[in-house]
Amino acid sequence: MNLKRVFEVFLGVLTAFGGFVDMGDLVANAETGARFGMSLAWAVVVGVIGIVIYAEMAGRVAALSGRPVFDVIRERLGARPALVNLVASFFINLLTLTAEIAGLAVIIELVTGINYLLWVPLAAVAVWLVIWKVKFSVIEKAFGLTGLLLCILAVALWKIGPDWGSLARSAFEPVVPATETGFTYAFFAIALLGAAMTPYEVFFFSSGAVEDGWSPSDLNLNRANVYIGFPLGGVLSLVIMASAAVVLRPRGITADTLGHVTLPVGLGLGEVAVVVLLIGMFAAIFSAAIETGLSAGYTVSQFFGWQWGKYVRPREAALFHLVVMGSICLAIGIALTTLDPIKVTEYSIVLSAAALPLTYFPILIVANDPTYVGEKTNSRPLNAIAFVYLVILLVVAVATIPLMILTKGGA
Amino acid sequence: MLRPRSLLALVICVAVGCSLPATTFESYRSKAAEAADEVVSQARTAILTAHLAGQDRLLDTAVAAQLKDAEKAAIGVVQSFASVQPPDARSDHLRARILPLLERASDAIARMRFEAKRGDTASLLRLRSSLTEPAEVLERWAESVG
Repeated sequence: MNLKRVFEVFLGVLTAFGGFVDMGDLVANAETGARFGMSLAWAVVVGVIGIVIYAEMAGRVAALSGRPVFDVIRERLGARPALVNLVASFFINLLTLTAEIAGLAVIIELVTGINYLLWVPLAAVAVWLVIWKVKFSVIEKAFGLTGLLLCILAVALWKIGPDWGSLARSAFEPVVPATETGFTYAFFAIALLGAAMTPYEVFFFSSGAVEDGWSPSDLNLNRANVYIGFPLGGVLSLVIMASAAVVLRPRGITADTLGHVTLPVGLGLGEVAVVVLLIGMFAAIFSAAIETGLSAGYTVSQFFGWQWGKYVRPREAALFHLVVMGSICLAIGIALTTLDPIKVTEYSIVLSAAALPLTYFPILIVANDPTYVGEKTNSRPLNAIAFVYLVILLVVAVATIPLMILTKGGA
Repeated sequence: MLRPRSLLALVICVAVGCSLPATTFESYRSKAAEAADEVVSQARTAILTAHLAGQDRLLDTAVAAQLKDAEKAAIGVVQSFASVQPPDARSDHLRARILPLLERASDAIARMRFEAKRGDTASLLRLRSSLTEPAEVLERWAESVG
């Protein structure tokens, strides 16, 4: 491997790392850290392993067959079941897009002091402009790398100097806190799983592989991104959880706003670090908003067989861009209803978890089909783990709605 | 038998966290404890935010935004609890004891937000002390009822 290639892989890993955390991860990890300490850390680990398996299969299928997730789903499932799949995925993606755009607006409010609702349309237009104007490779790298500023959370945690042994015990010997029930514990475990395994990440990852023109020679890049970049992103999620567990939980504070994520950094490092964190959060959420906006266009266009992507001129993929624009307009409308952005995020990640089997199962089948991937089908150990995950995801899909009702949405 | 539409409405209502009426003293007390927990969380948020503001560890705009969110959440909880019909005389007595504490805490958070908007950190820190007492009383009471 030459030096340029090594640098490319390194950059890809950093981009995957910086781009891993989004609004869902920020909200779910801060909230669970504040309510459950580190006792749900295992759910993050389960989610990260799940997204690694899922994205690796989707990336491999894209690199070897040149076809992204929804194209394959339609072919394997047939038009009608795939349509049900599309409707569910599109709805959840729209909720996620709404949450990301509202999240951007909330961050601008934290900086300007002006109500976030005024920023929602502007943030959404900025997202659309970047999708329309900026090159795909620039989007990926610029926002992914700026998202690395979130590492300031780890520095703040270190500076606060928590009892690491106690944190580790809470993570490795998990118990349901006395103030919570088994149902809320299970509900938030699902939320963390959904935050780590958001379907749009895979739609974007596999469609992006096609946009970047991945070929079989890019399989190592795919592996490096998912095997190194995603777990590093998972570590960042655990740091968010630990910060909340150390600073908010002992004070009896429930993390129910994005501002709560900044408090541990303010306590540990001060104002400048808070600014760095806000830039990192903005970049990470902006990147996720772009990915979810694009994913809306990817899924619909790939299902209907329209020309899609940013690698062709907008005029040549007009319907794709129309869907992206329409989704952003819908997201603005939903956000402006004044629904709490945190609640929208919670519902989007929990419903994401419930809908995961719809897209995970077809990819698992295709990743074992030599017609698509030639000799590079799943190995036996990978299949064993992937099937265990299929069972987990099916259980989660069945349990999510009853748990949502029983816990009043995790209240 | 519930019709499918009514059942769907009930499921959505429960799923989004609509509260059902309190029919016994125990359920009313449970609602009071939930309200106390929530207001204590917002009060502690305001106290920590003021502490950080006093040490210049947070942007002024972020301080005001955080206090605004805390105030909004606390007011929502107080209004929601205040509107619950007490099922009996014991509940009336409980309401008379807890509601003023909730209102005191919520009002203190609101006044902290005013001072934060004015950029008056000294007053903000003074008000922080006035929030500590109702928060502690509410916390102790919520813990005592489990």
